[in-house]
Amino acid sequence: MIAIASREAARSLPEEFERIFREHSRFIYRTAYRVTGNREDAEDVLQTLCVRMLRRELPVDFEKNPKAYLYRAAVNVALNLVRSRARSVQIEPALDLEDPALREGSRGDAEIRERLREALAELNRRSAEILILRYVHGYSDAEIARLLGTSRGAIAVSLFRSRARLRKSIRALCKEKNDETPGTER
Amino acid sequence: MKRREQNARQMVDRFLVELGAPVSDERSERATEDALERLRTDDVQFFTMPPVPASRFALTRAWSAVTAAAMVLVAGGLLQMALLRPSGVAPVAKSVRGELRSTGVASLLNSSARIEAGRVVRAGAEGGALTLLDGSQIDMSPNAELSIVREADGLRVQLSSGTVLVTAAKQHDGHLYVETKDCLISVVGTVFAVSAEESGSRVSVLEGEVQVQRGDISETLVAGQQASTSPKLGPLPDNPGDGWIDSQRLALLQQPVAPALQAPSPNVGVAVKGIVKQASTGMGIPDVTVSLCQGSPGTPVEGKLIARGRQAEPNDAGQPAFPEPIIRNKTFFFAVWDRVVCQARSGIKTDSTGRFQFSNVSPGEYVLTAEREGYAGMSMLGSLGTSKGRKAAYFRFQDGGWATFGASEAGTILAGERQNLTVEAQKIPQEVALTMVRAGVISGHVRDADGKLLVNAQVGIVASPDQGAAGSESIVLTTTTNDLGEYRAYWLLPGEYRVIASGPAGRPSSQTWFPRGASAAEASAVTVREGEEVSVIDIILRPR
Repeated sequence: MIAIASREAARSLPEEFERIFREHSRFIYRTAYRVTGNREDAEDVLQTLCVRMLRRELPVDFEKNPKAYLYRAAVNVALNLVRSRARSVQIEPALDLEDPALREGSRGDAEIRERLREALAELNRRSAEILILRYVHGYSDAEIARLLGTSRGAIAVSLFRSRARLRKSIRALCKEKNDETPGTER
Repeated sequence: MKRREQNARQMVDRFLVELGAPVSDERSERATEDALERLRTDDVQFFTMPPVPASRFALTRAWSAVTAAAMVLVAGGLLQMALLRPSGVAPVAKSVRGELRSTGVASLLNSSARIEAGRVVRAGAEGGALTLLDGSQIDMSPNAELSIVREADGLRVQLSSGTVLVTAAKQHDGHLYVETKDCLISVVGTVFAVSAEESGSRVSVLEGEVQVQRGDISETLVAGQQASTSPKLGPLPDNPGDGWIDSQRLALLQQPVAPALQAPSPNVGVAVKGIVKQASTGMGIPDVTVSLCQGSPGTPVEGKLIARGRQAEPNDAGQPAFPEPIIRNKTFFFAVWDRVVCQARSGIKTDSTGRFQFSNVSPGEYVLTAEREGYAGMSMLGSLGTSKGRKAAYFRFQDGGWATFGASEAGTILAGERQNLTVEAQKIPQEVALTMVRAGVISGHVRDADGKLLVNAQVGIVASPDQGAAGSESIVLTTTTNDLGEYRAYWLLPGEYRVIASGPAGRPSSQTWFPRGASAAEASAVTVREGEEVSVIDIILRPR
C-alpha cells in the first residue's frame, strides 16, 4: 500500500530559501562535522535543516535571527545523532579516515573520542551550545556571553563544569578498562 | 590515581583542540550543493498513502507566507487533563496581547513571549490573544484556558474553558485543529469561534468552513452557521467580557444555536464491519485494536534510502510499484504512518473470533488500522533498526520487494495493518478483511570464551543479505542478555536472520556471529517462521 507521489521534473527552489541556506550552510556544516566527527552524519544534519527550512518547520521569529536558530538546531540534531549512535551496536565505527584530525589516531583514541562526544551529548543543551561556540567556532567568553545574553562569568562557569564532565567520562572509561586488566595502571 | 587524572585532562584538552580544527570549505560547499540538488531533483521521493484526495498530498512549496483566509469560534467544556500530552518543548505560539499566564512561568507572559507546546495558557480578566506558529490568530475571552500541541500535520488547540475566536491562517498542507472535551474542529482556513462550557461546546463559523467532529459524527459548518453539542447551550451570553472581540462579531455569535451536534442518533451513518485474520491460517485474531480514522497523511521523515531490492510489479489492485531506478545513498522521505489523525478516537478491540464493527460511520474517506503487539501488517512489514551503527528502517513488502532506509531523524515506524476505506451512504453493511502476520522470536544464551554465561552481552539481529541491503548489514533489532545470560529477540518479522553478539557495552570483546563466526560470511542463517520461536541460538564469543 505504498505509493510514491508522482515524480516531478527538477523543481526550482524558492530564491529566498536558497539564499538563507547558502549563507549559513558552512557554519551549520562545520558545527555538525565537529560534533558528530564524520562527514556522513554532518551531511545528514545539513540535509535535515535544509528540509526543515524548505518546509518552514521554523519558529515564529526565525527571520529575525536565522543564524541563531540554525546554529541551535544544528547542535541539537547533531547531538541527537551522536546519542542514537551511542545506543546502537556498531558493526563498523563511523569514522572519517580522511579527517586529518583523526588520521594518526589509533583505535583506542577513536573510542575515547566517541566517549567524549557521547558525554557532550549528555550535557544540557545550553552547556553544549556554549562549549561548541567556544571550541568549534573559537568565540571568546565575552562574545558568547553577548550572543546568549548572559554574563561572562556564567559562560566561564558553564565551560568549567562541562570540561569537568568530559574528564569524568574519561575517568569512567579508564576505570572500565582497568577493571578488565587489573594492575596495568596502578 | 594522580596519573589517571592527568591523563583524563590531557585527553579532554586534546579533544577540545581537535574540535577547533578547520573543516575544508570545499567539503562543506559540496555538501551544500548536494543537499540543494537532492531537493531539486527526483532523488527526493515522497512516500504517501495513495487514495486520499490528491490536493492534500501536494508538495509544499510554500516559502512565501500565506495569510489568513478564514475565521471560526468554538466553546467547550472542561478538557480531561489526562489527554494533554505535551509534545516537545519547541515553541508553538507567541503571546500577542492581554494578560496571559502560563504554567511553569510565574510572571505574566510578555507580548512576543514564546509559548511551548503543551503549556496551559490562561487569559486574564481582559482576555488576550496569541499568534500560532502557522500565523493563525487566537483571541481568547476573559479567563479562557487552552494549550497547544503539535500534530503530525499541524497544530491542535485544546480549549478547556472559555471562548476563543480563531482566525486561521490558510493551511498549506496541514490542518489546524481545535479540540474541546466533546468535539474536534478541523480547519482549512476560516474564522470561527468555539466556546467550551460545562454542559458542552458551541462552534460558530464567521467565514469559510470547518469540519466539526463529535464521536462518529462529523458535520461541515459554513459561514453563518453554528452548532452545539448540548441542547442546554443557548446563544453566547450577552456579555462574555468587554472588548476582547468586536461588537459586530459578537452580535453574530449571539444568534440562537440549534443543537446540531447531538449525541449520535441511530441510523445516521453506515455500519462498517470486518475481521482481522492471521495470514497463515486465515483464523480471526482476537484483541486487535482497530481504529477508524479520517485519512490524513503522516509527517514525512527525512532519511536516506540505502539500497532497495527488486522492482516490484504493480499488483492486481493496481497499486503503484516502486519507481526505477534502483537508488543508493540518496535522500528520500517516507511518511510516518502511525501519525494519522484519528479524529473519532474510535479504537475498538476485535472479539474472540477476530471480528469488529463500527456503527454510525458517516460517509467519507477513512483509514482503517489494526494493531496488536506481536503482530505485523501484511501490506507493509517494517521495523526500525540500525545499519552500520546508523538508525535505519527495514521494510519488506507484500510482493517480495524490500528496502532499507537510514533515517536521519527519529520516527516511529509502526508495523500495523492499514487499509484505506471509502464509506458510502446507503451501502450497508461494508465488510472489510485485514490480514496480519504473527511475529517470531529468536532466543539463546551468550557465553564468553571460557564458557561463562555473560550478563548484559549485546546481541544484534541482522537481516540476511538476500533480504536486507546487499552488502550492508542491517541490524533490525538489538537486545542484551539478562542475569541468566539469556537473550530473547522478539517481534521479528518472518524471514532469515543472522545473529551477532559481543560483550557488555564499554568492555573490549570480540564480535561473534552465530554460531562461532568471526565475520558475517561465516554466520549461519536463522529462519524465523510466522509465530515461531527459534531457541537455543547460543553464541560463544571468540577469544580476543
